[in-house]
Amino acid sequence: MASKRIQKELQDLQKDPPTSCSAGPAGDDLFHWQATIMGPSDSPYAGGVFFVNIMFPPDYPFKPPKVTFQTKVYHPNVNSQGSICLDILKDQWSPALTISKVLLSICSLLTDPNPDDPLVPEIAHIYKTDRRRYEETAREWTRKYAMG
Amino acid sequence: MALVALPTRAARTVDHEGFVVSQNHGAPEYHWIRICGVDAATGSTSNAVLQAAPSLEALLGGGAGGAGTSSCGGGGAAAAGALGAVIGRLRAAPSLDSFMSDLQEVLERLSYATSAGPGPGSRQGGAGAAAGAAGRPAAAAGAAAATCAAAASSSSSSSSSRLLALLLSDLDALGWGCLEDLDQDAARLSLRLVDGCGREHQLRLSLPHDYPASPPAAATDLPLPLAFTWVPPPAAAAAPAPGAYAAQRHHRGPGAGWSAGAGPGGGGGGGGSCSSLVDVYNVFEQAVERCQPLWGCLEDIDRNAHVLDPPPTVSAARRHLGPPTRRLALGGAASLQLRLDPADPRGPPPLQGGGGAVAFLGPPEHVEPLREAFFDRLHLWTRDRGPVENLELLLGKPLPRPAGSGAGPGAGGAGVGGRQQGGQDGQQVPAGDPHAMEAAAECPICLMYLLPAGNGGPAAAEGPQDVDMGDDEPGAGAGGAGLVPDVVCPTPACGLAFHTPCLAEWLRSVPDTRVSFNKLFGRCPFCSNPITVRA
Repeated sequence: MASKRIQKELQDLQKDPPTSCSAGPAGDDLFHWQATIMGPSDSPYAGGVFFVNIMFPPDYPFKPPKVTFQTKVYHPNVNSQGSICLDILKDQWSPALTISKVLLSICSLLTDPNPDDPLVPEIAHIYKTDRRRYEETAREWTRKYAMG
Repeated sequence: MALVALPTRAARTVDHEGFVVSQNHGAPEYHWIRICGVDAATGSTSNAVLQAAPSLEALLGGGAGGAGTSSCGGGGAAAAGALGAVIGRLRAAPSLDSFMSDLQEVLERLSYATSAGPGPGSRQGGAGAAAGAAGRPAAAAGAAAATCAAAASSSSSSSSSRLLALLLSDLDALGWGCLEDLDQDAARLSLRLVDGCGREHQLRLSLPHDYPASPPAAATDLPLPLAFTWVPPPAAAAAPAPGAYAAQRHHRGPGAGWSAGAGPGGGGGGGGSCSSLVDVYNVFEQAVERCQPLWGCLEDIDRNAHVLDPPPTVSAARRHLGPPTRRLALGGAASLQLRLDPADPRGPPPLQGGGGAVAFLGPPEHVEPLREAFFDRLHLWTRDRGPVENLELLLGKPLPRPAGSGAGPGAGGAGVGGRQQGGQDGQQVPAGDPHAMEAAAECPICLMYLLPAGNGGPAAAEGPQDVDMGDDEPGAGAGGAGLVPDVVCPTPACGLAFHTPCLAEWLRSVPDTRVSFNKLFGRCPFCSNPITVRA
């Protein structure tokens, strides 16, 4: 069922591509995708293009896909390995979710970080206490790693 | 197969000499052959003499000694007998050319038999064509060998050839066009019937070893059982002589051989009494005729209501297959599963039999008023109206029309004049509704509408057995079409429909799902409200 469902998701993505992100198989392997997310314009990530790695488990959609950032991101819920702390990628996963919905969730996570459930406590602390410094660093990282 | 004959001129006759080629497991083998004494003036072969290489004699003589006894050691007496039969065929042939083409055909069949795995039966079939009447219409490759064997060995007393002779006469009487499939050993065959409405039906017969003493086993896709009593034919001991074919042929004429029609009682009462496959086929025809009112009603539903199951991808010629049930959209997330009584299709759905002839599916808030309305007014159901009209009267509202003709790629085909009318009616429904329906109908877990059968779903095994018809698309053919989403989330605002196997697999993988009495109690993957599915 997994490959059929992934194929169907790919078709739907091609038929009706979401704004601000794109996704597709990285190579011949249907279970390994690469996606790009445009930094949301109302966030310090605006103007950046973030590459995202997606691995589908063999029992997808009953298990969540593994989604990691390939581009370095300065964010309370993304660590230096690119791991994302997002509930729907863990215990809140539901087979009714699709890759397109997951990517949109990541977009909104970029706009609105969740410092109460941080993956990188230092960034979360800065986000909570010194929002300007957080935004400056995030903008700098975006310029450095996610542009050109 | 190359065939060369070299004339060498003598006084008043012509001798022909050359080689014929046969295939032995794909490799060509050449056999010397000489035909002497063909009349030079008339071309008559009535006094001709045949000489052939031992290899050819061995090849032709292999099975001519009898059905199972290939007693051909090294040529010798058995081969002489076989060659004698071939010479007889040569002398009876109208011309040398026709004899040679017969011989060529025999060799081609022999090479087919060796390449398909040599067996005594098929070898006999090949040799028989030379001795017996060749050129009988052959339906299938497998049938060809059996046909010729039956024609050739009417003098033989083996039981298998008697069976083949019987089968042959039955098929001659029925017409070969209705033969759809025949096993290599003639133990199973399937016959096709296309009724007046263009619906196709299949009668699958399997002949026991001691046929015709024991009855053939018959299987159909009809909703009523096919019942007949078997009376072994009196002439079962002797194979019918060629004259008997003519008698059998008349058998199919008006009235003759018409077994008394059994009542539509489903309980397996005595059907017509049969003593040949022709009689069984006649009983089958009658059974098909008895089902016509049922299929008429189902077609009425298909034409005038939005049918969810069987899905619109099932073509018009095959929608009658499978159980006589339809799942109808009632608007919103509600749907109605309806089963008609095959014996009384225009009557109210059979409620007393138990087994859910009527089942309302969907969120309770939507379904309850409909269910109440239906059962409160059930006495108003009359046989004068079609099922759709009756349903609309009982439910007190019009049923959703069928989805637009563009939605069903397989909906085209024979007899869809009314269907297109229905499609136009469907466009009076608010614009874009069919699309919304289609999107909503997809199972949110596998993202498919039709879950292919055999995907572990318990309903996958419910289809009629033995229906292996080589479907060209995975969704074709009722019964084997696949599963439509059948579990609806009871939360009205959600109302999504899931396939039972998909939802069950998801709920089993979630730790907080409870299992009780073969039911899984968990949360809807979409709205997180409680949902129940059978495990």
